[in-house]
Parts: sequence; structure tokens; C-alpha cells
Amino acid sequence: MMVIFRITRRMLDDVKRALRCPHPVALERIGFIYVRPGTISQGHLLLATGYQSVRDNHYVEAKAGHSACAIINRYAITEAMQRSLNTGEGVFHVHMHDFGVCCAFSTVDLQSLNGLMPSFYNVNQKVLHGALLITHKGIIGKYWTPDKKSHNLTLISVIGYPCSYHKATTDDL
Amino acid sequence: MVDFPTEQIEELEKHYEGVRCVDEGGLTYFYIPVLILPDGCEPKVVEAMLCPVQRDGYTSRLFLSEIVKTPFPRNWNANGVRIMERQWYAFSFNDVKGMTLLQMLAAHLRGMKENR
Amino acid sequence: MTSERYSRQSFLGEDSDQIISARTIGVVGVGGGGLHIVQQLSHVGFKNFVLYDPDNMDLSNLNRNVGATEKDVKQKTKKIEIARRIITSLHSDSVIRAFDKRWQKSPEPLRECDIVFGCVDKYQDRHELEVSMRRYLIPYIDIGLTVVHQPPRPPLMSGHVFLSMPGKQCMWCLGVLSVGKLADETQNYGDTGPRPQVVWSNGILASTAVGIAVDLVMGWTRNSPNVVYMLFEGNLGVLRPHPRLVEIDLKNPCVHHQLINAGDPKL
Repeated sequence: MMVIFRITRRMLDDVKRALRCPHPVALERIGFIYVRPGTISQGHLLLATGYQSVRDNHYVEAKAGHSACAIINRYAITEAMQRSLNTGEGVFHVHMHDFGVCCAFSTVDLQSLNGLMPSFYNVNQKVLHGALLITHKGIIGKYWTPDKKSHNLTLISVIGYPCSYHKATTDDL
Repeated sequence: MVDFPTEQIEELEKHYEGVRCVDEGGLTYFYIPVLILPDGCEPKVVEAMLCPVQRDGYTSRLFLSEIVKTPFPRNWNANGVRIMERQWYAFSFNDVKGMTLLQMLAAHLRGMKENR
Repeated sequence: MTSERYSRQSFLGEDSDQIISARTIGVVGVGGGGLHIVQQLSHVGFKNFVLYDPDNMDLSNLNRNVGATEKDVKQKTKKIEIARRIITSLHSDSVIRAFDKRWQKSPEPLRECDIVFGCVDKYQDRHELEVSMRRYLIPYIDIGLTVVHQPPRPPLMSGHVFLSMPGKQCMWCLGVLSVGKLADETQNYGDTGPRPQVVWSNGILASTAVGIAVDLVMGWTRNSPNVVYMLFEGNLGVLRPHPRLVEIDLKNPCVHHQLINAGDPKL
């Protein structure tokens, strides 16, 4: 199924700026991009309409030896779910791997997202929910269906001058 | 986008269930899901978009979800205007201004049945 | 690596032919301006098109519809078929969805496009296209040409190319569209009769529009303008940035189209 994701460059720049801010306990920051659907002839079109950073006090300090770079608490998730319920927007978890050569969702990322993102269908089944990963090479993304299966976004378009287009990758771990 | 006094919006909502204010392309509209038209019109019930601000040279316009048969002929010069990703229709009827939203809507409805 | 076919445009950037050929372009109106655009885009390497035009060829179109022939006039060939012929003659593997109707009757394919060109006659049509493209976050490039009779002076030819970029100022912000223009059109004021159109002016506007699209896709100029609004002064043969660009603060956000309204409207 074709799933196109569009975000303006201005919003993406705001997202990147927010994700780059250091956090006292988390190694990475996390946010949620909200999307509205657009009807197309076949497949889905998702249009980014807003962004919200996870609040500083909604991160959990990881125990020593834990492999996650950031852990968010239930208040962060509830807040995102509440917005989705109130506005009908879909929710895309977003974080950044702005380092090294890691341009894919990590195993830890996917384990966590596989559990988290399908739960958004409990509050809003009318639009897709998923996750984006911003890397130094570009952006990749996935969406989950209510049956808890994940799929790659077909195309992520960043709308600005110039535009940039990011196709699905199969490089995920 | 224009802000309308809350009491005018509430008055409109009181008479028409499900009224919603929407903005598009710099203009404000009030969507009326169920609008009962005056006697002699067919169909009797349509959806409507009231544009209470100047548009296309009209001080206000009432768009309907379809062209309606009226008691007397009308010039349907808005024939498939796109608003909120749907097509809407309106006949030429001008100088409805300086009224509350409900009065404006009533004036447009009167315009449907008058012999002009 | 650029193939032999596109070796002369390798300056556009690495993998430019792959990036360009992967894009889907919408063209609303494949008459005088639109056929030029389709032809040039195809030469550059764009292969995926969504086209709309309800009209057939007639004799008065032959002065400017590139790619059209006398046989097309005799056969009343649909304009979308002329566009298709142009594209497929350059790309046997093209993917074309062509609709011989107004785009409003079948809007979904247009929303899948990466860039949309509007080559329409009326201000109302421009407005509707811009609203929809803003809603679906699609860069929209509008071209238009007018020739105004003003006896005893010579006719005045002018045109524009406008890039309406989601998030940036729109045709309303810059005066391409205005309450007065739409009002005049509704009341049918101004010049009546068939709109004057000539091939060379259409070609200038179309070429400019194609250049903007290529830069949008490839970023080869490394420019990042807030607004692209070009004025064509046909009598002087001059194309330049519109004077309004210096009159308006281009950093102001667009108040006519808001991001929160993106997506299918909810009524």
C-alpha cells in the first residue's frame, strides 16, 4: 500500500532543533509529529500539521546497563493520545540518530515502537500512526496497522525550497 | 479570517443544529448541515455554506450543495465553486450586509422565493 | 551517475535523472501553456504525470498548442491525448494518468503529485487550485498571460509565474489574486471574447515555470527564495521579479492558508 508522508521544511527544521536540545538524563530526545489524512486514489496521504516535544519531566532516567537512549513515561504518551483523541490527528513518534552511521531504527527502537504505536489505535482508528527517524542521511519512517504489523512509509516528502524526497529503505535492523 | 460576535454564532447555532465555522483561503464560512428551503423550492433540504464576508463581488453569499429549483428563475452564477474540497452553488443575490448571521441567512432564503 | 541521455544536464546534481524520473507532476490545463510545460518536463526527464483538461483541439488552438497538428484539429483530438503523445514519444515507460475533465471532478490523483502546475484561464480556478494544493502540502506553480486592448495604445501583454509554496506567502498575499479580480470575473467585466494567447509568450512562461520546478526538485542553484513571483512584460520582452516583492515583507507568514487546515476537511 502506498503511504506518502509530507512535512514542511520549516516544521522539520523546528523538529530537528527541538530534538537536538540536550536533556539532563536522556541521551536522545523524543517528540510527536501530528498528521492529518488526505484522500488519494490508492493508499494514504499523511500531512504533518504539528509537533510537540516530550516535556523534560516526562523522561525516565534509565537504569545502568539499559540499552535505550531515552525512555518516556506514561504522561508523555497520554498527552499524545489525548491530542489524537481531541483533534483526530494521527501520531508519529520521532527521534534523531544524528551520529555515526546508524541510519535505521535500532532493535531497541523497534521493540519499543512495536508496543507503543499500535496502542494509539485505541484512541483513534481513523488515521495511521507511526514513527519517523531523522538521520544525517535523511528521514525514514514506518507506520503500524491495528493488527500491530509495521510497514515502511513509501515516500517522505519535505516541502520547501528545495524539496527533498526520501523513499522507503530496507536497511532497518 | 474574520471573527464574528459569539452571540451571533450562538444565535445561528440555536436555529441550525450542527453549524460549524470553517476557514479556507482567507475566508470564513458557516457550514449548515441541514438547511430547510422556502416553499416552492426543490429539493426542500440541502447543505449550505454561508459566506458572511465579501467574496466574488458580493457582500455575502449563500452556497448550496446543489442547484435548487426556485419559484422564480435565478441566475446561478456560482456553478460548482469549490469550498472545503466540495462543489457548491449559489445564485446572484447581492447587498446582504449589515445584519447578524441569522438575519443574513434569512435574507438569502427570502431571496430564493421573491419575484425579482 | 548521469546517463548519456542526460549528460548535458549533469550540473543539476548527482543522481538527478533518478530523482527527477521518480517525481510525479500534475498539470492542470494542457493547452497553450500546459503543453509547453509537459514537453519541457518530459525532455528534462520527468516521466510520471497527472493531467487534466476537458477540451478538444480546435482550429484556434493551433497558433500555440505545441505538439498539436492539423490532423488533431480535424479529428478534434483531446488535448490530454496530445500531451500523452508528447510524453510517450520521449518516455516509452512513462506513467500517465490523464483526465478529460476538470480536476475538481477527480481530485484524488492530483493530491499524489510532488509538484502541480496550473495553466488555467480564470482567477477562480487559480484560487481553487491554490487552496487545494496548500491543503495537501503541494508546491503549486501558476502561470498566466493576459493581453488587454487599450485603444488607441497598442495592446498590453503581461504574464506571471508564481510559486505558491506551503507555509510561504500565497497568491492572495502577493496580489496575484484579489477580491476585485474575482469580483470582476464573476460579473464578467473587462475584455470579453476569446482570450488572446500566443506561443512565444506561453513558451517564456512555461520555460520559467519548468526551471522553477527543476530547481525545487534538485536545488541546483542553492537558492532558497521565500517567494518566487516573476512578471513578464510582453511588450518589452522582459521577465523580471515582480515589483511587489520589494513592497511586501516576505517573512510575514501567510494568513490565508494555515497548516492546521491541512488534510481532508472535516465538515
